[in-house]
Amino acid sequence: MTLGGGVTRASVGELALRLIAIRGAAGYAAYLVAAGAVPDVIAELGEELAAFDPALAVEALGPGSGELLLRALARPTREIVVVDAAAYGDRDWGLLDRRRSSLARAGLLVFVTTPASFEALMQTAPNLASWLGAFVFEQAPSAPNNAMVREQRLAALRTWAQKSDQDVIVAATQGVLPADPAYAEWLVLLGRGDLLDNG
Amino acid sequence: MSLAKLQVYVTDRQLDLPHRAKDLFRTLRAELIEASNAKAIQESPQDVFRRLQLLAEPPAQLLDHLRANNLHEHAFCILGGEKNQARDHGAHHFQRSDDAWFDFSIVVRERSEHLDLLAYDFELRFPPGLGVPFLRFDLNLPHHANDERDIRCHLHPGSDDILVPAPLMTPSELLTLFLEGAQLPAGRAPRAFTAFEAAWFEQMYVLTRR
Repeated sequence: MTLGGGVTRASVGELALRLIAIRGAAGYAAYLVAAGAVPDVIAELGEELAAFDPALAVEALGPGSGELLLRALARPTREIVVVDAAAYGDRDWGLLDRRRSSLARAGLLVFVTTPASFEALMQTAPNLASWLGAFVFEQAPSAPNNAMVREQRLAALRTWAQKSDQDVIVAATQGVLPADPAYAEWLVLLGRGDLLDNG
Repeated sequence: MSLAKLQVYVTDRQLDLPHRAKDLFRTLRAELIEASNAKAIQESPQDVFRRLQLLAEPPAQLLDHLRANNLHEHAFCILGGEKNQARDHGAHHFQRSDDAWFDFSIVVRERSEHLDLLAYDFELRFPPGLGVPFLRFDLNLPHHANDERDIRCHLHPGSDDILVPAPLMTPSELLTLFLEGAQLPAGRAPRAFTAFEAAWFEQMYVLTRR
């Protein structure tokens, strides 16, 4: 789904898939997340990328300024570099824009930052913004419809078995619940995984 | 003659599973996306993201005493496609290039050092002409009172009433079987029905019309 301003919403997993699709060439991307969430998102992105390709070399950098980032990139880095850029402001983005040739590298460079920091980038780094192009994403929940999916599954189970949730819990408590996998799922969806061993 | 020893044999296998439900989920997702990219399934990678779900036990519903004592080790469901006991083709599923289609559900529990595979059902449904309407691999919950009679890990070969022993498999193995196995070799047409099969299907038609 593409929002106004060319920013596409994507979960961390979807971002990883897109990065995998464009790997092999130099490229830049930005991922906008809530302030405070950046370290966790970077860790999760690393895991998601590894799930698609365990051999993929990913490096996470957390230099506190644009200047420090340029120094870090001066040494050999891995195929995908993910940068915690949450603290970057006008000065940092302006510097990176002026010295953008030093950002150039063979692989992918992904800035994970906040919407406020990205706004500063847009104001002070027009060339870098151009490099990012359409590869600007805003974090979307990984499982936006979990509650709905859960209720749909439960409704389908009730219809299939002609039983209520309480019927299932009582039967499981008494150790007489059928062993079908559907009942295992039912208990988990009800939050009663504690009854899974009551056979 | 008891099948208890056979049951032990088919389930007594050390499975190579990731430590976390999330990692198993990601592995299955990557396999489905690879299948999508190879056109082995008709769904797009975006469809895979939508149709494959990881549901954790709702924490708010944990019993107070379990939560307070941290005695509860979390269970998860990994769901591929919609719940579809009626085998309605309109429900979300995954469909192969040969139009066989499938869905699955998996229940696991995270322990401190490993992942327990508690139950699964993987059902593959075939277009008419491929011999059986469906294959379903079930892993029932353990320690059931009827373990001596029933077989915890089994296959339903086109019948919900008939089951035969099946080896315990990892979800990845089952998914691989559904994506790459249980299909005609490329370029080969289905074998002609024998007179027995033709008569059997004809009788089935008569029975279902009553």
